[in-house]
Amino acid sequence: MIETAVIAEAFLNVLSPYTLFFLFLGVLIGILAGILPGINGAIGISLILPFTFGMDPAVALIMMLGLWGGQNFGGGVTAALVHTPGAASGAATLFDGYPLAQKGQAGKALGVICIASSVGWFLSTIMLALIAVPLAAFALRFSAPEYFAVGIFGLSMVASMATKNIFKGAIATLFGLLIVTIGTDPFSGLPRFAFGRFELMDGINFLIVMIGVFAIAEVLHQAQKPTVHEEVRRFSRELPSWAEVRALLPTMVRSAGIGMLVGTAPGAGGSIAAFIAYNEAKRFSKTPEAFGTGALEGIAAPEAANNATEGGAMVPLLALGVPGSGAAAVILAAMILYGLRPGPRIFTDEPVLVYSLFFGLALGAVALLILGLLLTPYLAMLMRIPKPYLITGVTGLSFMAAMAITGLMFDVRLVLLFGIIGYIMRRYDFPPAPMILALVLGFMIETSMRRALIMSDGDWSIFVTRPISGTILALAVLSFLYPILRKIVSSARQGGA
Amino acid sequence: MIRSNVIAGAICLSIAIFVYWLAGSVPAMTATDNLGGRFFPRLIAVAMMIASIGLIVTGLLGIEISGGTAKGGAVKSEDDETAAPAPEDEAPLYFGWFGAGELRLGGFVVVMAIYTMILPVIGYIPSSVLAFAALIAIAGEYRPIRVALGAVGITALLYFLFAIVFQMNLPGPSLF
Repeated sequence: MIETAVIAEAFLNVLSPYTLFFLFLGVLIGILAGILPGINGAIGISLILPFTFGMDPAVALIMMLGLWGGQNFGGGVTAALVHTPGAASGAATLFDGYPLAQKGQAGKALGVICIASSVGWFLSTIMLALIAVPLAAFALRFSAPEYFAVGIFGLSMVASMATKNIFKGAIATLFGLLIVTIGTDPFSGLPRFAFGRFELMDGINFLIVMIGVFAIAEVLHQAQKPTVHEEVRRFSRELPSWAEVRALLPTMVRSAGIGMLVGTAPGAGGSIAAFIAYNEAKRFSKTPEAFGTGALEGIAAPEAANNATEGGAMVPLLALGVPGSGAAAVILAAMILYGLRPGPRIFTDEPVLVYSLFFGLALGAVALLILGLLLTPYLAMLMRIPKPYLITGVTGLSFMAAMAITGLMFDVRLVLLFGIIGYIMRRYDFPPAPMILALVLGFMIETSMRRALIMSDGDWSIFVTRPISGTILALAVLSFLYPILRKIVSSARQGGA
Repeated sequence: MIRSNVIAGAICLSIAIFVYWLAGSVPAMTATDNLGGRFFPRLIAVAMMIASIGLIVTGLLGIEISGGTAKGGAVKSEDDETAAPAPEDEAPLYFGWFGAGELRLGGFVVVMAIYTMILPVIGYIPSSVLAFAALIAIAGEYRPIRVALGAVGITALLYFLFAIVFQMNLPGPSLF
């Protein structure tokens, strides 16, 4: 049973001025990251990570979760104001946010985005607490074969879900797993692919790869694109009325549920949840014809959903140690850096921290509501920062962040190398997210697999004869093969018609 | 045929074969387990060969098998750009084989590479001011005073954050 004292301690921790300051700071940086083009949650969290090394892990993680939620909101702000989502999660918001802003009601659009984001975020936190705790209790039965199966399931979902070509998704995943093998063999302690370089003996730090494939690759992508000037008009400060907000509540609750469910599945991010919630809101609406012309429901649905994916993604992350997205992977990496071991045992080993994260997330939604409503009109002016200064600043920040993580010039050069690799991957539609998740999960997958085979004296059937492991592996195979089967069935139908 | 997929598949297949061969240098068996350190990389290399062959074959057949939620454009992936095209400030420029975008990209990579090399030699401040000025200019700001102010400003801001606020040792000059 969870002790009341643990919950009370966690609650008081979160309410301390020190934690609240960093929570609000995280949300503020997140809103800025969402507004600035090309900076997503994963990049933002990677870049602030070096600054959190001296902090209490709970405070640092709460700050990162705040940044993640703030970023989801910031992406919607630019979608409404300049028809360009600052983050992918805000893409669906432009369908109705932008037309409403064009009607001279930008303040109302931003108000709905802020309120829906906060509601989605808050509700998903409640659902997170309700789902993660029993799931973690169930996962306590897991042993090496089950952990191997969970790792494979996470990778197969990510590699096959949001990719334009599943073979490219698989190759990106496998490339990430190959990077994990660089360094030292975890069982024998002998060097493996270290090429005699002492910098590689401990392996390649996944944060270095993340900064490269997310931040530097984005800089290179932006450098290649022509310069554009976004026109940011002055806009009204009119907020939605209480009656309008109340009418939107069912849409927000339904969309938060969709966002939560989608977020729980590894590989499905905020943008996917937002599009599904938008379509569902239109289906449920009494005035579907108003969608696309500035309908408030069309703004509230995607925003509540994309912010709710954060709570959803935290379920497998906390309960199983499996991140479901790029941002979740960075959070997982941060937890490992702080000496924590995400997975079911964290609920028994670090209960105060886990409940602090729950309370931190819930308060983050409140912080977003306050900061979003008060500061958004001023923060939106950041969109006027010219691209040459913005991408140069991100370049400098990326290299210095790499320097702060390991202190090695070798790693600064690796950031550039992975930036170029990330750019090439992006250009040829190899998704970077599966590679990052493979990097984070690779160690667990290899060690669990080899440990399980030691347990079974080399008998591979251990992975399929144990019910939980066998079921999860079957789901992993199905999730990867589903797109191929769907293609075959659809080709057969077309051939028959 | 989707040529880019066939070429990408061939490159990935070559990498996988190389990794498989390279793993031969890792001990096959240790006292702690029978598989040894070479087994896992070889397993991954074989899986990568299969995926690469899949990419080549589907590329040759002109088939693109999209993921579970990336079909038909109804649902977009994280990397999709949904925004309507914004007006461009520059007309497309071409210099021989390369367009302006490729030249900017190449310029960025070269300046970044030089930056990582001169950083430990001449130290953080001079190398950053020079590199950032070059990057700002390549990215499209051609007014010299703004370039200089931008480079100095970004260098100072990062110095303040990392060296003063977070007490990090930024690279000093080893040349002088």
